[in-house]
Amino acid sequence: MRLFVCIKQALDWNSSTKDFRIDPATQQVAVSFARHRIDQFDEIALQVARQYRDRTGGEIRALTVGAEETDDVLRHAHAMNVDQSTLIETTGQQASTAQLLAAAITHYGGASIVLCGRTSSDNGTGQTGPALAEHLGLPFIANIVHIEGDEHAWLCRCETPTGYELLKVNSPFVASVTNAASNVPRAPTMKDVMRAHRAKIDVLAAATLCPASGSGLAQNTRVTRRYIPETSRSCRRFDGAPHEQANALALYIRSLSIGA
Amino acid sequence: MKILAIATPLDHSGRIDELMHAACAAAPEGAADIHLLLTGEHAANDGMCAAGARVYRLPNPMSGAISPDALLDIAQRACEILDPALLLLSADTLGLQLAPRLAVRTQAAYVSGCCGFERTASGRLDFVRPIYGGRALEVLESTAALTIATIKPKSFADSARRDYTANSTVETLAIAWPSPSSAITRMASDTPHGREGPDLENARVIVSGGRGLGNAGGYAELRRLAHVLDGAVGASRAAVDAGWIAASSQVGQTGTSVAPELYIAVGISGAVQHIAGMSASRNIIAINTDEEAPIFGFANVGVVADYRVIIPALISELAKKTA
Repeated sequence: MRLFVCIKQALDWNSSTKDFRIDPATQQVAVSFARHRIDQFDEIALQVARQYRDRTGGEIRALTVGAEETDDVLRHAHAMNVDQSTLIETTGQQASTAQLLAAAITHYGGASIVLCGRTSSDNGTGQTGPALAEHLGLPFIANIVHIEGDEHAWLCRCETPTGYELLKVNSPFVASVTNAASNVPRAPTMKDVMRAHRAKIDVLAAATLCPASGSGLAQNTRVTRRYIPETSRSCRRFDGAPHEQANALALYIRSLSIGA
Repeated sequence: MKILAIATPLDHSGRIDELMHAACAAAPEGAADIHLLLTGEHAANDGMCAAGARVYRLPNPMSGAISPDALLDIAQRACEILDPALLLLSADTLGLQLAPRLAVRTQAAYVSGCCGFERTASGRLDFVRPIYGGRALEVLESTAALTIATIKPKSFADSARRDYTANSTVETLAIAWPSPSSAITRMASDTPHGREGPDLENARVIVSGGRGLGNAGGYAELRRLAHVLDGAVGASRAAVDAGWIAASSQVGQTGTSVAPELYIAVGISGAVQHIAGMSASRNIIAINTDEEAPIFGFANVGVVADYRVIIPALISELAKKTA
């Protein structure tokens, strides 16, 4: 049983958002003392993969696409007990992330299950999982929270707009993972972190995986501008005794034609 | 420019209106060539507001749930027949998985969660979308012949309505209904996830609680207030992680993104992940004992107070006026 979890590095919201701004010259987010870590959505995917493997068996390989320094997120994946990891090392604009991930998975002989985060906390497109499924020719399942079973019949619990449904899948598949009470990522222990530090990280060159000579490798969109929208919200405070505050709040709510 | 909007079975008529508003916003002035394909069991007049648009239905749709794979095949076939320059889908569970796959198949540009359009001086249509959980916006240029955009819910809800004249004809698009996928079988559907009141995404009012509630019992007060305001109860991630309320109630970047008329944040400090999911709310009230809490920076109205005192007082104030 081969499980792949696709992860990415993102800005750590908990430590570096005080002076969030866009650098007009580079059109990139500029934050003083920016810290990066594994994207919170991908961490949930790792947790679901690990819960499945610990119950059923198999091996998990974490994949990430990026420059050399991106391997921090793979160390984090090792601290969350993945078995192997691969950095798909890029050197400039090449194939899409989904194309590179698909090529790497094919390189390793294909997958039983491929998991991705539901979206990402930076670009937030949520396109890598579905696009990856298409490149691999596998079915895609959205918003899984839990997986059971084996290759004869996997059972996936998925969040829907109105609740949860249970899907039976009898072919390898790609899925996006969403958060639930059952899959809150377990924080690594110091021992896990030490072990992760020594773990071997495999490297595949993006240029070798997807030579640029192929067709359809171009990115089809180009960023022309990024900016922070102006918000004109200024907070009006209601002071006074609690009943005065409550009265002011009630008047405010009524002024919105709510609670008539 | 030919624009095709595809309404999936998840799109209720309000969502179809939004797709049509988005299509009108994208169309060059006076040169709208808008097409709408209804793939679900939409009521006969759904999409009629789209007059000016040509409305299509599929022949003999099967009853019951349609698999995403079948919809993907249908969308691909519709692209081949109608050859649009812009294809619109809702940015919901279904649209967000169909659009990237369709973009791979058709070598299209993909714009996820589009919330606006800009026309450049040269007349090119650019696409606006939120990044970093709504903290910033980016403007994208498409470099492909076909652009597929998923439309962020509520983004075009209030767009200036064009003067629609009723369109009474609905055509049939000759697409053979694909056979159901054999790889995926639905075993059990929709265990409701125990949300209370109206669902978060559609509620006009949301009363949301965070770590500041102190314990799970605090939600009883919030539920009472939500009940009075006919609203839904939400939560921050901290409260969900503490096990005080179901994960399905979570508002924020990892939970549900909401844009109600009124959002009442109770004991929520205002972590960016939470703000990302609710900052589009029309009006925000913050109730918190910590006057330094970042949430006040995002609220229209704030009260530094203990919710255990304020909320019962507010409920009785609201009751007073209706009596």
